[in-house]
Amino acid sequence: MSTGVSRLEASETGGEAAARLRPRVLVVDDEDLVRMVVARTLRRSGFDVVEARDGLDALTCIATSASDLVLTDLNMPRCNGERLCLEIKRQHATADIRVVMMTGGPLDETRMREIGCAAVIYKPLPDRLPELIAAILHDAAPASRMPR
Amino acid sequence: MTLGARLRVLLVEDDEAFAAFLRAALAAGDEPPELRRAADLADALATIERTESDAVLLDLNLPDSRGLDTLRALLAVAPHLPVVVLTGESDVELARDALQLGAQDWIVKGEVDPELVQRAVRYAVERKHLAERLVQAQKLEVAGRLANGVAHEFNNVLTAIAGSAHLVEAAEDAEARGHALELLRRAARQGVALSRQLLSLARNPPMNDEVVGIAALIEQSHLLLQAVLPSTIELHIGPVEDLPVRIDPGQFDQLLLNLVINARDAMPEGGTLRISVAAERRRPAGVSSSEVSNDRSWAVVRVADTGTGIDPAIVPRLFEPFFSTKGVRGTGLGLAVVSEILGRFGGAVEVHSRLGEGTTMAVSLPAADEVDGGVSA
Repeated sequence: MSTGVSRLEASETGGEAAARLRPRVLVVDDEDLVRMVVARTLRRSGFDVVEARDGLDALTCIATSASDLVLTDLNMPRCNGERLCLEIKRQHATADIRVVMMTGGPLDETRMREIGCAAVIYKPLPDRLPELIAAILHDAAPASRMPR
Repeated sequence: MTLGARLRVLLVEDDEAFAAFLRAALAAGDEPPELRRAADLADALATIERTESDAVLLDLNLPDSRGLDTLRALLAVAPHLPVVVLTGESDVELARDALQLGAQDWIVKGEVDPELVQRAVRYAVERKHLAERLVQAQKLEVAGRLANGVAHEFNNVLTAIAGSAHLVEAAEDAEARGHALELLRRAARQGVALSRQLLSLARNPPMNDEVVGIAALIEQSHLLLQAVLPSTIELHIGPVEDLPVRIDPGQFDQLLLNLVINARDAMPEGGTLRISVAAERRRPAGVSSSEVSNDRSWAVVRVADTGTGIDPAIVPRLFEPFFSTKGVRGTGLGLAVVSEILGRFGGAVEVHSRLGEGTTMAVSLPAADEVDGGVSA
């Protein structure tokens, strides 16, 4: 399932039906501060944001409420971003969810593409994160063009 | 000192006759060193303050200091000076303890000949220089690994700072701005904690020992340890019994980091790493009875992993420089450095390992004596 910016704009007109149409982003990071800041930033831009502390927590969230995009940290305890992405892509019901990997360290971009990541974003995250997320939901930004 | 130049040797010996004998023995060799003499410990320490020496020939029993305390006092003011101790014929055990403490070699007083003394002194100087280069190389290796983990931590902090600054700018009312500012302040505090950790590693001078609580040391290194561990390894700290120990906090960090990096490398598939501290009165293996009484207290730091374990056959070699099971990834210096640091502070390390189940490294540090004074945080 893919949701674009037009729906995002529609959601800003308010109303319950429109709110349901706002794209839902699941933000996954074990660093509380990072997760809170990213979640708040995306909420401000009109996304419906759900938060999870690690990969296992995220899988539970996905099972109970569908997300359009998962923005996940790579390095987390219990279940890291790579395992989370593999699990999402393995299940038929969730395979269409876009997964965006974020990291503050080195990362094997080829491997990330192989496991099905739509994009890779390096911390510190770019100011135009909401636009990037909207563009990825739109299929307009291939992974290779993600900024470092 | 440049190799090949004339060696400057400080002879610390109260026995006039033996000092004269040694002077003659050294003068008769192929490479007679420049010799200075001190008749007691106070004189020796003052001479070291005043003049440069390349090595010390040290009688352990002096009018103002006896046994290993003499060596300890000397190494405390001149940790980088190679020391050859002079012992009596019946003191082989004492000589071994001296080596553990950081002396480079020993000479039995009854067996002195010019060639032997000169060789001992020159080898001592060369070995000491080599050992220092090893420590340096290993520090670089640890620094490289740390840089990776620290960059990761800093990028998290920067993400939070940049993101919350953005939220402050975009805040539509005072409440939203207040929330964003609080996030900004929290992020800044995390950054400060991280830089403090790094500074503790960069301490100068290298030997800066003080009496500190072991619990505070462990607590302070927590962030650093986290930085070198991948997400697949869970770090548990505790229980921690607090005891005062005399050590250089920067060197303690390095010691703990080395043990944690080894534990990490033993768990390629992930696992659990536990660090605990117990106050114990048992004399650890590797510390001889001539050195400490049996009822001394020890802070025993245990670093336990759930990794591959170590083949019992290679356990005795673990602390040798350049011994590594990690192939190209390891320099084989980590545990050698652990051993060297412990030697300086009168500590010891024991290895308990089972193949397939994991390894526990137990580091024992002597509790600081009451006369050492209170605990500084």
